[in-house]
Amino acid sequence: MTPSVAHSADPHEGAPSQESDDEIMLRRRKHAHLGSAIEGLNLTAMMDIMTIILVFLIKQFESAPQNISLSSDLMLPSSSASAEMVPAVSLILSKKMVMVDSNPVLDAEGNVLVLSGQMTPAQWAQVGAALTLRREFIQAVAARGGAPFDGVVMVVADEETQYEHLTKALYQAGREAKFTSFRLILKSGGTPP
Amino acid sequence: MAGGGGGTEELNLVPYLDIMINLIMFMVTITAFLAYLKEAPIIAPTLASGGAGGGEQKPFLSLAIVQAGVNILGGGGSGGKQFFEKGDYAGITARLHQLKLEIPELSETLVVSADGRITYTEVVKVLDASRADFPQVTLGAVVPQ
Repeated sequence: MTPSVAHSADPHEGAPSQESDDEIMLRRRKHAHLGSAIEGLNLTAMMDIMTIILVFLIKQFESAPQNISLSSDLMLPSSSASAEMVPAVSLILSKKMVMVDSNPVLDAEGNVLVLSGQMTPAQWAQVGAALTLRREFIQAVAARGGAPFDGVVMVVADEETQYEHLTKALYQAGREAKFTSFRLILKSGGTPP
Repeated sequence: MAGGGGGTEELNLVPYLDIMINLIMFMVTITAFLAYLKEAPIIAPTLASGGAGGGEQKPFLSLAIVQAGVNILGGGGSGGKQFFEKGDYAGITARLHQLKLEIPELSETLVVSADGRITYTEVVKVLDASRADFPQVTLGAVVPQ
């Protein structure tokens, strides 16, 4: 840095500046020669960076909404909706399973349950009961100083779910389990008309 | 190392570094995936309190999705019934926008109902088509076939 400063300060002094550049080259060669004596790479600095990145990502993951794992049985429809997902109680309607907060309520054991329309009123009542249990648990936690029950349920439904089943699920969530606000979880990427 | 004397041996950080890199890649992937999901709020129908009534209801529109297409039905005296064939989402958007301009007092809440066999994807596409002018949506009952 010093030679370049001297060079810019006085452009007429060409010879001293040239000498300084030579000195720099000499110093670099000397350092390169000494570098060959170093055994192994010092990874401590890289470890520090990695640790900081990991802690940052863990904190970010902690504040993110709960994980929803998609599969061939649970493909969400694409939408142009732009609202960010906010964590809440999830009601998942996949092709084979109904889950409340990742806990299976109804499992078709290999058969296509929800999509085929074979859900009986008793099975839908089971969904309502599971949601009611979840709501009571949140309210019990809230009574002991936890987060208050906000009445929000996230509906995560497969793209081939029939409207009839969607409304039945919403009925169970609203009428039976007393949830007051519904949010449809969708995949980003739909094209607005 | 086995027969090493008093020389100080450094800790081998390479395996630890491998674990860290894998964890970071996992975290980055999961975070990117979560940002991929969005949500669309739905207003739950509410029960009336059973009061004296007499309040004036704002005119509202409702959409009925059937196998052949979408019917725009005027509720509350707003008029404007029209049928759009399946896939004509741009037409639905344009018509809803036109109705919104023609009837300024129109409620921002849209009632969407559908045939029981209509897929969720189709419902979401219609919701997308109407979101610009009607950000609030309530899902109605199943349309009888």
